[in-house]
Amino acid sequence: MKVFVAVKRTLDYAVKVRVKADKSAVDLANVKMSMNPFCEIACEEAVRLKEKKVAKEVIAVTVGPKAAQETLRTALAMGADRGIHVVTDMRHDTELQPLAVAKVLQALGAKESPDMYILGKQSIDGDNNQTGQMLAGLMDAPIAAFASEVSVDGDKVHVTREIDGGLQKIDLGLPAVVTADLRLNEPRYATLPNIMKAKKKKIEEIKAEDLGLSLEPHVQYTSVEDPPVRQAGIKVESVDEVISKLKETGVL
Amino acid sequence: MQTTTPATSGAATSSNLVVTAEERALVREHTAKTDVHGVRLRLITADCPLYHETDESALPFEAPWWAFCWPGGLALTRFVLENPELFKGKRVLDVGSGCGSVSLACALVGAREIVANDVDRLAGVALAENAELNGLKMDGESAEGEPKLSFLQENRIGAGKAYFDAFDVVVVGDMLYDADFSPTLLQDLAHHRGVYFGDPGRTYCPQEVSEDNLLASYDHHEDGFSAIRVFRLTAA
Repeated sequence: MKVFVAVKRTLDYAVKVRVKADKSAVDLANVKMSMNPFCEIACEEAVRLKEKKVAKEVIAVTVGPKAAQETLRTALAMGADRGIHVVTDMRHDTELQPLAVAKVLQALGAKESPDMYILGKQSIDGDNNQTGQMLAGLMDAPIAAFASEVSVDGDKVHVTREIDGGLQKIDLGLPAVVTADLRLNEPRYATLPNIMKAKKKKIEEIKAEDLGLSLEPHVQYTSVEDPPVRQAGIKVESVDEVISKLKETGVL
Repeated sequence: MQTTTPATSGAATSSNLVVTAEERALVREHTAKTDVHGVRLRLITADCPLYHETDESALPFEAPWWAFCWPGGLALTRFVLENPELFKGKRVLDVGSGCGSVSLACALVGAREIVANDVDRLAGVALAENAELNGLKMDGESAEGEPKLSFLQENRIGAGKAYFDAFDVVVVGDMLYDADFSPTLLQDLAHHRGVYFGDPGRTYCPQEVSEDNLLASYDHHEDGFSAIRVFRLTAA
């Protein structure tokens, strides 16, 4: 089977986020960018399907600026066979929204006919958790979101999902959409030999406007705020003082 | 990387580069001794710091293709050692010799003459190091009756049918990954009757290989691959 894996360039998970002075968005200037951690898990799962001979070809897809090519290279270094880069200058944490990405994936899928679409459950910038669901909706295809285990048996995909209060096991027909949760696998690290070979793999560049889709955002960001700064605590001398302070604040 | 060299015919019997002590020290510094199907090699292994370097610009040399035994070369090395009769007494060209594992395997099974060919000078240095590890002599140092092993630093891809036909056997380990040279190489060797490819399924590797031309398939569930195949393009 052919597998599409969607990967997104986001702020590195370890970076301390700063809000821009005009509060329009998070400041992305001179900040380390990486592959979204849930996309790494999705990519790892796709590569493992190939190593198990289930997948014949793994195609990594990204939508984003020129620099998002680095993210595709990371996917290729992990073991994806080739990449498709839909180039847009839209800000990928605010302007480029899940519905637009889902439409792009649907359009590319119509050309390539993959049997499975594996995505991260959400990106750590927009935190929307919508792209996979919207893609399945647009395609009228089955979806298993929050996957913690995936196996393929002929034309059926067995997925264990992480849901409130436990695990749910479901079977899907193909083509299917699967979104990766945190415990699906532990992604491999790229190594020098893999990076060297990845440089030789093919990346097809497509301008977003050439797809003939409307990628206009439907949600408007009005203001981005830092979390409130934590107020300093106070020291008390006795139990009685604790009780009186708690009474003052209305807790007791 | 390609340099002008005096050796232009297929009749090269001695290496066209002189390996310096500094270069050998450089290769030794960044590699570790390891064993690939019984061939001893100095490679950048997972124990070497450079294996985990993800920024190519931080390397002390150009991309070290010679410092890894790629899956295609790994399979071909094993195939040579398991099928010595195909290589014994033959005149062999190793295109893209890299670390030299396939050339050395050919020497170990008694090929008459082996020309290891690579564009990277350090591949020649690595070959010299690795030959020594396996007790093999290079160039004119080998005694009468011993395999003659030499290194040719030159791009011969695109040299055409006649050049390759001068060799009994041509071995190609993991060279079908490049948009520019891989299709040319396949063209050069399309009709050669003694060519052996080792490949895990790179982009330019022929998708379909007939049962007759598929010579071996080894499990290799790594790097996004599941098997490495050894195949030829035309029946011998």
